Amino acid sequence: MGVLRLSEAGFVNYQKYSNFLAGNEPFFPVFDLLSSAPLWLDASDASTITESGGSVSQWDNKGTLENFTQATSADQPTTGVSTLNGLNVIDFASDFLSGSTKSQWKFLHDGTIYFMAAVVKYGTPTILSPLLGNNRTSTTDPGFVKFFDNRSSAAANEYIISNSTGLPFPVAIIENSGITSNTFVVDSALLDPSNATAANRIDYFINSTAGSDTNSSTAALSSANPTYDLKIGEIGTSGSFAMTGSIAELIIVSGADATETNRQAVVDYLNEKWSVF
Amino acid sequence: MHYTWESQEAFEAWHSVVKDGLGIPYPNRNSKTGEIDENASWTTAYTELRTDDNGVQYAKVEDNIAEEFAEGLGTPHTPYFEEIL
Repeated sequence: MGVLRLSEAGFVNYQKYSNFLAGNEPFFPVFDLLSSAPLWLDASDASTITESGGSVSQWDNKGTLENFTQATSADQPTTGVSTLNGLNVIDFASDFLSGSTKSQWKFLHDGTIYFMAAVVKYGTPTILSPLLGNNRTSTTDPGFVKFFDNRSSAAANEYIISNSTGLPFPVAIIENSGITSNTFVVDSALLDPSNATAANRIDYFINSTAGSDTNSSTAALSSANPTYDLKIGEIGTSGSFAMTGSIAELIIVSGADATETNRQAVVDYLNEKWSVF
Repeated sequence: MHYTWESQEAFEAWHSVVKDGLGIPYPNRNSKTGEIDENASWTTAYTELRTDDNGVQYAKVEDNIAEEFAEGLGTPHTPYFEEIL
């Protein structure tokens, strides 16, 4: 159990503390961080999931930006079947969910500092299993993508930020054998895409272990909106490269809150909740 | 599994039967309360046509649906895509 601390105003927020004790919310310093985050998808919070017969048509964002939907039955992920540490996760069988407001997610590729952290299990597709993305891995469509690449059984952990001017990508990480498939991990990264030093543009982690690949580009970033809507479980297309795997929780924190200390705090929160490593 | 049809009209005829059989369109329920949420995303299609890099239109069809709605179902298809990065 966490340590009871005073709030910023010097008073304990008893409602949040009660929710924490009831297991409904993370301890409130992290809760405050997450509730102001652009993206916070939590499969353990049934109130955020809209479904029929376990097929998910909408996953509400507990953060500040848009929700994610899927109106096509065959592409809907599944809830209420799998658990991790006794908590519900959402399963993807070549499924995905989509946002609809491109401008909201421009910060993922325009140089804004942010971190992402997810409790995720990647399956063993013959091609890609994306966590999220909106650039289709294109060299000319600005955006971001994070995916597991199992072509040739490479089991690669990949991050790409693209601009509209071709290679090299402003940020690119490809670490072969970086992920063990069919195993839940806390998958996280801190991105500073406009950093003048290429190697400082991204630090990424599986559980508490830092990745070994290093970004080598200082290519310029795009300030244009992404070409594609942001997809959860897709690279940005409309289902051609959809996820096989499971997502328990997915968080993106941006701006002044996107510090290494806060990334570690969110990873700790996720690991304590989901008991991953 | 993915399937392709001789024409878009053939796909739409099959898809119309599937939608009728599944009661699509329909609203969905909040997973916590079980109450229908008319304002959340409805299910409005069973599947949809996509185009691979050879220009072939195809759609994802789950095995149980392919079995239940076999009449008018297209032929199995493995979509082709150029190498992506």
